[in-house]
Amino acid sequence: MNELLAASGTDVAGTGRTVLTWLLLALVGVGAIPVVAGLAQFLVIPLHAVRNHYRETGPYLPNVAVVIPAWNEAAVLTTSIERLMGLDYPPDRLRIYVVDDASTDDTPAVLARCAARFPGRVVHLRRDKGGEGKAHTLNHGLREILADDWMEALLIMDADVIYEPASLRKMTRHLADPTVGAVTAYIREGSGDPQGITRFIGFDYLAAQAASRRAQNVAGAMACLAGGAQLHTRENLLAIGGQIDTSSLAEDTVTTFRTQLAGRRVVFEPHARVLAEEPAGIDALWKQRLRWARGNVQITSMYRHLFFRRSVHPGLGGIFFGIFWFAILLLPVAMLLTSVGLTGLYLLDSELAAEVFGAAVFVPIATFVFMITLTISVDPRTGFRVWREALLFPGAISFVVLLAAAFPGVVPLSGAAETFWTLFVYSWLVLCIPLAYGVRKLEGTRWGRPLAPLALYLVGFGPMMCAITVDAYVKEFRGAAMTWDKTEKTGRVTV
Amino acid sequence: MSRVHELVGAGQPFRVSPPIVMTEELLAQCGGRPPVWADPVALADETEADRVRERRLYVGLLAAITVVVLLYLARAALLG
Repeated sequence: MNELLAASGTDVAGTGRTVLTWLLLALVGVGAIPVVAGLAQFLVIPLHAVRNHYRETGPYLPNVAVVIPAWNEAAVLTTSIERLMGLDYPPDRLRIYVVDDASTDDTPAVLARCAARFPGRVVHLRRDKGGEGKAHTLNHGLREILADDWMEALLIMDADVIYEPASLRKMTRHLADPTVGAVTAYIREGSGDPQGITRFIGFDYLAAQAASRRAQNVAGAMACLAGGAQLHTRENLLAIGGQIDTSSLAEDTVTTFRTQLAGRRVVFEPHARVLAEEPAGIDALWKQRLRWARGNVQITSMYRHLFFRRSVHPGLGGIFFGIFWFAILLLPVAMLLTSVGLTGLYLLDSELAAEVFGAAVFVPIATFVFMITLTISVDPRTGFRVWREALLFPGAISFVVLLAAAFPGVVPLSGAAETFWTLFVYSWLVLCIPLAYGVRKLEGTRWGRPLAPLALYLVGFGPMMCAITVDAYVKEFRGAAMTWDKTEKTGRVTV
Repeated sequence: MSRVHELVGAGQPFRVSPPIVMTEELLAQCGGRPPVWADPVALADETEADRVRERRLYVGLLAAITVVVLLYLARAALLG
């Protein structure tokens, strides 16, 4: 570093080299922001032990209308309705409205049987024209439900999710505080015997829902109400227009933002547990997450005036929320910048590159450790079940790279092997993204299908999420059609 | 119908729902045992238990700090 400073200003070539070196250092620095933001987020989570909403709750049990959008959900509806009817909640204060989006399977017959079993408590609303997406289906139900004064709180859920018995009343207690507009629950992957990708999703949900939403509770700004578990007060629904946004692929996030911008709080209740069925294949997961990622790109554009402006909203416009939001959205860009920066530095000055890498590498290692331990601590039972996927979340290759970076010299390398290994480590951050795309393609081939799970463990679930984000950028840039790819549900969820 | 109340001495207004009237029929539906939701004190106890349960996050923090320190020390020892 001293040589770098000494060399500056000697001649044009030297100046150019110095400028380039500083530029590359800046790329590495900017690229590290999401990692630092991730560490900050996990450091905030323990504060939830003291900074939470429990002291403002009360024994509040309003009339709850549950709305379930359903398109060809015959396989899972009966179980879901039976579970809802078995909720530990006053029976006369709970009604279920299933909005049948012109299903072509046995959904109407299943609903007719349920309505007969639970007279007056299960209502079948059918749309004649379907296939427009979840938001349109929900709006059909909302119009009917809001027309009646009975509903005091509305629970929006998916047909496949199963609520644990105490979960609804644990959500409604937060509505005792009139400043709260909506409450969301802890959704976790609910397969009885998770395998391969569902184990990764199990850990992903643990980190993204149970852990991250606690940090958002502490920060006082919620990014998104879980689509399968969002409880709104009637006042809040009316304040946001009584309808769900249909202009984007992220209607849940728009609802969440609108609620907070209308002056109401959104609270995450970690002890209200909801089990959901998640995709069992890479391609199905890709389609689901691509919809979410594209939705986030659209939201960023829709609310571009909001970020980093506390005058618009103290929580959503706060620095913590802004960094948290863009750290996820721009993670692939950050990985590219870091990789370009480190590789460029290596080509320019290999010793400086090693110095920078050696000094900075402990930050991602610490972030990784904090992510795993704090995530597992929020739900140890689920966490210990998927500990291998937690360790291999960035991929087995990335795990080895991290270990090698943490303990340099354990495997002595020299000459061409050392050069090759160093360049591989510096470029892996960005190489893993196209490889993750390749894993999806591999699953689509007859010969590659059995190898895809192994490839996923090697490349990692995290890089796959980054690849999906890149795909979302591309699809949004090209203005690709916003199709609603419904995740196939088979009723695998068990309590 | 629920109401929003302003209670003198309370820090903030709060919503209350009508009290639960436990009929014989309702009790029978619940298997003969009074449910948690029928008792405001039991509901408050449940909330308090959940609030206290959040303290396990400190265990996660402690574990994280321990692992990071151990890794740092191991690395420092290895690098001399």
